[in-house]
Amino acid sequence: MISRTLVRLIDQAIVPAILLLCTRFISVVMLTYIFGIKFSATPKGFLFSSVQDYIFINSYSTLAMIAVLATGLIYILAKALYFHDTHISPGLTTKLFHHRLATLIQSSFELYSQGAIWLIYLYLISAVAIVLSVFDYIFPWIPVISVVLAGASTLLLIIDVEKELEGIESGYHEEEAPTEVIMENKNELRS
Amino acid sequence: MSYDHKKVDKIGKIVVDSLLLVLLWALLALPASTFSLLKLDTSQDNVLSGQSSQGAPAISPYDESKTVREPASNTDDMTNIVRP
Repeated sequence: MISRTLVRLIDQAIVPAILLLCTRFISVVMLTYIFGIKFSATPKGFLFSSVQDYIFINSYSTLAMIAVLATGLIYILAKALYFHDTHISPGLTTKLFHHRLATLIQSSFELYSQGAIWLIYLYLISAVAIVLSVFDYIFPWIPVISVVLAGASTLLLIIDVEKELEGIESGYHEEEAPTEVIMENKNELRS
Repeated sequence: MSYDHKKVDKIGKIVVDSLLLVLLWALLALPASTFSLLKLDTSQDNVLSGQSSQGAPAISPYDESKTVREPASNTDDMTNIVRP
């Protein structure tokens, strides 16, 4: 069971990792090109001669990574809150099947593993951004945005988990009700 | 020689799980590690602090033994140059 969960988490972690790496590289190259910032690409990494340029590029490339993470999390949270197979409305299900978008309907295991991975990435980026802002290597408002986004995403995911638990509870009560009726009928028959 | 297959199976599972955990951590730490890709060219800072990029002391063209700084009388003469 642990192996299955771990394999699932690794499977979900590959795409965002590649996406974030590409975002970092592309954003650094694009920002230096657009703003005409000089840098030298060495085997050790991108070397900047000016402190201001370094802070500028570091901040905005981090912001690009946060934006990618936010987009992914919004997509996952929308799926969790509106298209979750445990609490999706029948009308919406019909509409999705009609428009051939049934792949949007996902199970709790898929949604929560995706959500957990993307949230971990956001928390890790926030932690690194906080450390960098303490040493003035990044603008201080970058970690603020990151932490706010991480907090809001966590809150929304918790709301979905609560919905899920309510669904399980109501399902449990619905299952209990017929047995109670049967028992009452049996008692009536005996009497 | 007989092996306890259940015990071997259990050890194998623990090994596989720990390897999977390491792999997961490596994947999670990968984007955060890109922060070390951007670096500052510190060779200019070293010059300011009196060290050249090769680690040798920077040579001052001024005679620093005097209170009022004046250019050394003969900069070609290495004996006049005071090293910090």
